[in-house]
Amino acid sequence: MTHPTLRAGLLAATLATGAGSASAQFEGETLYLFNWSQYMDPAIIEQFEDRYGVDVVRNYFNSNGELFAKLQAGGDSQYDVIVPSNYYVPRLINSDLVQPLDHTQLPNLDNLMESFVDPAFDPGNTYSVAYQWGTTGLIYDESALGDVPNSWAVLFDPAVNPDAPFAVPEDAQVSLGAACAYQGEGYDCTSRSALEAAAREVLDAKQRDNFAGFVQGTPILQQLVRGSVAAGMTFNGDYLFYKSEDPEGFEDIRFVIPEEGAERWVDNMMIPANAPNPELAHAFINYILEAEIGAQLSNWNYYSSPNAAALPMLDEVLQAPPIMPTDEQMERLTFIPSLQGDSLEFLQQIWREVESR
Amino acid sequence: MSGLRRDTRYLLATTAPGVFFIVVFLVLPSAYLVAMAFLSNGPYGLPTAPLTLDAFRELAGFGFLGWSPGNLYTLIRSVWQSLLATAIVIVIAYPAAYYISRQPVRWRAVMLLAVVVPSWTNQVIRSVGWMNIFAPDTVVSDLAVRVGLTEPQMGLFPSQFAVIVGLVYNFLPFMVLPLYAAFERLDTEQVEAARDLFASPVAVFRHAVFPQTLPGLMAGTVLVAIPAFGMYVVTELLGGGKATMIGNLVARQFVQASNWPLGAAGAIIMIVVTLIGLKVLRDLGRRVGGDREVLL
Repeated sequence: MTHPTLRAGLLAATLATGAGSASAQFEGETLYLFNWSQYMDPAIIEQFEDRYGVDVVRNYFNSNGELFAKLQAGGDSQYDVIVPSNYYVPRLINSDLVQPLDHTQLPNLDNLMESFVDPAFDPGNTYSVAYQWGTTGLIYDESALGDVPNSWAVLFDPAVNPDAPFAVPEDAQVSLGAACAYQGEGYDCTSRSALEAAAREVLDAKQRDNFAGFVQGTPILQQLVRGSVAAGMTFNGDYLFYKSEDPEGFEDIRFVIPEEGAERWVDNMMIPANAPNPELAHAFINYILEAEIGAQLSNWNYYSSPNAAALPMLDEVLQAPPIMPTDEQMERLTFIPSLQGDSLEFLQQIWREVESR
Repeated sequence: MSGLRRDTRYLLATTAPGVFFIVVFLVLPSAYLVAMAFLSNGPYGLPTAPLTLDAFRELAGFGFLGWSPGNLYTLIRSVWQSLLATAIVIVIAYPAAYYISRQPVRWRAVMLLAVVVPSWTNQVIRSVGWMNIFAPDTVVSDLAVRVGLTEPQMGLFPSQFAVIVGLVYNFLPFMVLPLYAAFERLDTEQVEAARDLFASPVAVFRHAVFPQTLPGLMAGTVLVAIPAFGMYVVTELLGGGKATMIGNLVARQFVQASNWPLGAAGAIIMIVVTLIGLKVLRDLGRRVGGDREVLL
């Protein structure tokens, strides 16, 4: 997990570069960061605090829905930097919960990889900058399921998994995406008929005796090790992170990108509409975009970096699957769509049906 | 002010704090909730201006796919779960409270403390504790497998069983304490008089003991049944979302699905059902207690 030499070197480098710059500008101020858990190297925060003489207060959310609800309930004036996934970015923008970025304060934007500049969900990076990216795939315990096909059938086909406990995430778009993919409609399905069929698929799964509940991508890893669940969905980086902490416990646990396709996502740094300290927020975003910090971040949390300048400094494990998907896997990965209006309402309604039956 | 009579001023001064408290903590939030329930849900999941009945229509089960009984199931499940948990709590707490009240004074304090102390820990932590006890390959799960209650690989959690255990465990102190108070005040002369008149043990209990403990039982039932009806932490953690309860439905509209009007409408329905429940309980208490006011 730790890279003592690299870290020491980086610390020296950051101290050297930071000393001369406008570090006194923010002396004594506070940055409020609202992020996913297990997603930020504490050393990166300490270096930022030291360099600018500021305090960073960290809060965590477990799902994009939770993030959205917190901002809606007044959190748009409580946090300086938030890290939502791509499919929530347009919703946050259209709800006026975030503010445009000032690109003159973000010179390190140039470090961003070509494919993360000007994304479809936020043209021109007006509001958002990529933080990390990764995939959501199928995870299962081989010792409980045996040899299974590389397919969402592990979750949805009782013939493939007749009796081992399994779970699906409570995030409607993620669970329905997997069911859509399984039915051959693609992970990014949006048509009502496809979504309705997907909801029925999840409902059927839910009513099986070995359904073990709705479990999100991070907590399921602990349940897999404990043995209370044998299959579910998780994120590639979290899988590797926990595996590196407990290689024995994860010996039989496999993470795969099913044949039918899976999700590729980008988490993005954004500044809430009424952030207490937008200047410091820009400084923080620019800091994360530094080549060395970008590399240190990915090397710590095991996710893929959108930072082209950081690539040469990434650990080997990040250059291979499951973190860097192969070209062939890449073709099976899709972004899930950002929904609004009737389509959002429809999705939420059918998901409520799934939950209440 | 000076024009007011002295006792009027006195009345104002003594009731003002109470009125202030009720306005700030009950009237205003309820007004907000009611207003929220009649708003529309905007295109991005934010409550917006036009007042509608959409939230209630949706709550009643009308949606894109026509009518569905999903939310009705949720409501019935919640009422049933609350009644079942309360009944089990009574069965355990009644003899326990009696037993404690019959102990020497210094032991009573110790025993009551033992009942109450677990509730000083956060509900979430206690629920996670049960999750670990009910996971597969634990002593308890193995026992359940041997008795044939569950499959070996499944464990006892998440399940309806785990939810009921979690609720009973959580609310037991709220039933034991009022019942203990009732037993402690028990007029033993009534019991002796009944015995002197050759009443059978059952008749003694029915006519001399039970009526005296009824107010405690009623208070305990209110303290257990109402929170159990709205509970969402325990059902979420120990039930794994397999069976949505009304509390989860409401919480999810605020926390996950961002449909605040629907959540507010659900909360109003919860309040209405709770008030109906209280009324039923009150009438029941009056009937059983022989027209005495035993509750409220």
